[in-house]
Amino acid sequence: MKGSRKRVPVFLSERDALASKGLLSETGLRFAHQYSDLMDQFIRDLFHLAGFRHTTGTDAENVLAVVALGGYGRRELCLGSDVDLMVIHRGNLPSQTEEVIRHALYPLWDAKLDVGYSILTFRECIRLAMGDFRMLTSLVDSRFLIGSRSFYRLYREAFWSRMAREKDSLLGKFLISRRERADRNKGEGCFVEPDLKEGLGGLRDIHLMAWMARIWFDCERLGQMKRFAAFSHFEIRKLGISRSFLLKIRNHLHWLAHRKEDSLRLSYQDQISKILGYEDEPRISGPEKLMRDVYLHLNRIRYRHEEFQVKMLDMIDPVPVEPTQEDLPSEFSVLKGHIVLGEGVLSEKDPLVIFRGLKEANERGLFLGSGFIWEGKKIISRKRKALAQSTEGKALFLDLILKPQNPEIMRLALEIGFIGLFIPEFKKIRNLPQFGFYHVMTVDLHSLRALDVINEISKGVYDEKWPVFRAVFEEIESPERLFLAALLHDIGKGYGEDHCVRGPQLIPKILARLGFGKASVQAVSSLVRHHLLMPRVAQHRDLRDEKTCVQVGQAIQDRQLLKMLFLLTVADSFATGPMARSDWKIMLLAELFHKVQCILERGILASPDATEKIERKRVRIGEMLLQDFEEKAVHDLIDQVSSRYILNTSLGDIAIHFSLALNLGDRKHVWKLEKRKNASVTRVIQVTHDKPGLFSKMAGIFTLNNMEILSGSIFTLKNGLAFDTYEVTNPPDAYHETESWAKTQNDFQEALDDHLSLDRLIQRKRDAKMPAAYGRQVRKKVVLNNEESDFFTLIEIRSSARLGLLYDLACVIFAMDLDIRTAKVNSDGEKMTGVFYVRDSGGEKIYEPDVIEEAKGRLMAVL
Amino acid sequence: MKKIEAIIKPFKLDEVKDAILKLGVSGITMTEVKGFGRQKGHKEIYRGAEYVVDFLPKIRLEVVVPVALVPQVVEAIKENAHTGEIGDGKIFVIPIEKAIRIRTGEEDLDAI
Repeated sequence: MKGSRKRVPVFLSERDALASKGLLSETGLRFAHQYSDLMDQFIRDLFHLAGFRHTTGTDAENVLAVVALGGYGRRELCLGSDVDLMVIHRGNLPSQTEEVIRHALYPLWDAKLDVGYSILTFRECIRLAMGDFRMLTSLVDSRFLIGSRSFYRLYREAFWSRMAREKDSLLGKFLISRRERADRNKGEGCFVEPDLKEGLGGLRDIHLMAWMARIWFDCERLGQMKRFAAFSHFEIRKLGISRSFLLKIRNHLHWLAHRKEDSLRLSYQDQISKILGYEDEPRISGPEKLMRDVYLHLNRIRYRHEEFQVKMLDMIDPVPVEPTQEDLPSEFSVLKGHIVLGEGVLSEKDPLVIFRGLKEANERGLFLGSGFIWEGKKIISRKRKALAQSTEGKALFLDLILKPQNPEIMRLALEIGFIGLFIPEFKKIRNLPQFGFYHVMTVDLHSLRALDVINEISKGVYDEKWPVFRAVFEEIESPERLFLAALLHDIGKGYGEDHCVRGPQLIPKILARLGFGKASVQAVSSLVRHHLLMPRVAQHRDLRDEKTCVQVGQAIQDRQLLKMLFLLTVADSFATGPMARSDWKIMLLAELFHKVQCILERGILASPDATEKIERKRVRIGEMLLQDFEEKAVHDLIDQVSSRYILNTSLGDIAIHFSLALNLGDRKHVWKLEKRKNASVTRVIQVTHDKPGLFSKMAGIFTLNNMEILSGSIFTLKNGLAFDTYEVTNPPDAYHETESWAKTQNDFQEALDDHLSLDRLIQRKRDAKMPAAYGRQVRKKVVLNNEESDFFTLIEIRSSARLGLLYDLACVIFAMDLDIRTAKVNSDGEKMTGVFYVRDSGGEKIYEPDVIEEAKGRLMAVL
Repeated sequence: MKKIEAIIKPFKLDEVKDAILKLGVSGITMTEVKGFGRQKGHKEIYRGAEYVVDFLPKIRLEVVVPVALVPQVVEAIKENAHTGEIGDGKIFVIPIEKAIRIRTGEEDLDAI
């Protein structure tokens, strides 16, 4: 017992030595072998030290075998992996022996290993395996460690003969397990932080292939599958490279995390890229380079597996060819939902048959059958030149990208090189990760997704919530331009410069190659150049300011172009990630679209005279309110409000403000709440007596009550009233919304009376806040801008989000004697961006350089 | 070291357990408990039966983790026990003075 205690530190220091030397210098596979060997030695020693003496015969009562299972059995043990052991025996194990086994195993826990062990007779073991899929697969990879080798052989024979009898019923379990795994790992989070083992294309896919090869084809090693004609193209060598790569990353991951951690989290991506020497370059950062490799290998494994499975199923379970669909060209037939060749082999056919197959699969919602992935990819790369010149090939390509019915097929077209054949520029964005705050997928897949969203819009997928999408789509005269722009909008990425500039430079060549004329080139280039314009303006500018919308109109000029740009922006947002496609942001986009559309419809320069417009509105206000209020009261109030208020506020809001004001009486403030339909946002339309720092007070109150301000604007009247409007997220507790609003209103009342110490309460809330589990750094920025508005200085801010930040900023701006008229804020998880429209106390923009510098300094200080 | 104690809906146990284990927590204690929160006597459907009694069946989970892991574990519980309905439960974080593994006598972080 004492001896085994001493053995633990020896093992640990051996492991540390191995890791510090081999993690970097060895290939992933060799390191896993070395660590498995080290573990073998450790476990053998522990058994001997515990007094284990093995019996050689197979009949003795105490005969047994200690067996390594799962990854350990495969000699692919990683530093944090489970050490799975099984002791098999004949039955009636003497209690003495059991005691010895236990004592041998305890030190494994003391070494902080994750140990799984069971002591079973071999009948029990086989029975368990048949009932439990995980147990079964881990037994497939069993390996003898200590005990009676001949006894182990007997057990293996029994196990495999049972497997041979059961293999028909096992097939379903394999397919189900893969499907469940795919379901678990298809989320967007799983893409950014892929699971190297269980994720799609992870090590598990290789294990599955090996298990299937072992169970159904009697191949001890996966490479032996090549002896079957259908698998003659199976590239075992590259697969081995990918496996070794993933094993290496996985070992680093375990080592850094000190445990079994298979999700390659962002923080680890940073650390591992540094350790492995992926250096930052101007065009692409080190972590991005690492992840480009990771995605490459995951994709390779995933698609090899996909086709492996299809081929294997064809061999195990040949089914008669399904009755041919009527209009299917005779060169194809359909097999289990896959388009396959009617007869013959791919390599002897006209290579264009691959593209025709893709077309059929795309149109019929089917997948491509065996042969098309491995062989197709090879044929395409071998006959690149001829294929790229082929007119029919080009036509088939256009057919696919302009009518993308089936996202799976698009992905496959990318995987086998069909897209790269006609758009070689795609190579630059292939597997290119985007480490921003918004993007989830690599650029290539993001582009395909955007294409798919346009297709979904045309099919009416979003009709329920956003009927405007399809309505706009149906008004588009040349939808092919929109599809092209969706596919190509990020083609300028990966050059280390602004992709909205680089992209349009690439467009003419690409479209000329595909046979498009000048008009299309112009439209698509313009769409690509402006694809970030609408979200930027919608999220960061006051849309009620007509100048803003006029500027967008001037940039776009054309109504058709605007419609396409709107849908391109929507598709881009939906394809980007959950933060980019929040209901609120889509709502802002739609609002901007409608406003710019109105401007373009009546002509940019034909903006009605402002004075005339104000006068018309004044008359309308009077008419609307006369039924409920006295004429004199209404007119007195109209005289109090500024022309800017009337110009920039919708008639509906004006009516609400006026009726609130006219009913205010002795109350200090009164508000009306309006829940927005498409997003969980409430508009607070308020009338109150103006107070210095009103905006900061409101910001504080909302923060205190767990609501986020998305936008706010305040107009002050000559008589000292303030008409303001805020848009805030709904209270978090949907079951107690009324109570939440009552409390918020009460808090505001007290804040107006200066009875509420906001600073202290917010500080308390901040102190109570738990630190974020995973944080990313945000580059902080403060910019003052006098160009974009005729009446205000814009203060633009970017920072890491934190509780009460908006309140602090508003306080600083107020302390500098600046007046916030409008604010717009975006909180995207860890990042906050905001813009404040401000004036000084004299109602002027801020021009003095020293004031600007001071403002920047003081604002930076609170970020 | 902190103890994280979570009262959750019974049918959320598996999801929460899997999420916590993924973070490298080595042990969890679970108790079946009954209780109610601010919706006293609120009806809740549990396994098809409607309960009108004050006390509703819940699961109490306890895990002890190093301080650095607290935000991740809390986040994992929050995410996985959430349904948005009434009675999703609560999480408490409690300081631990000392931990001892009985078998070996190891203390504090070594013992958890």
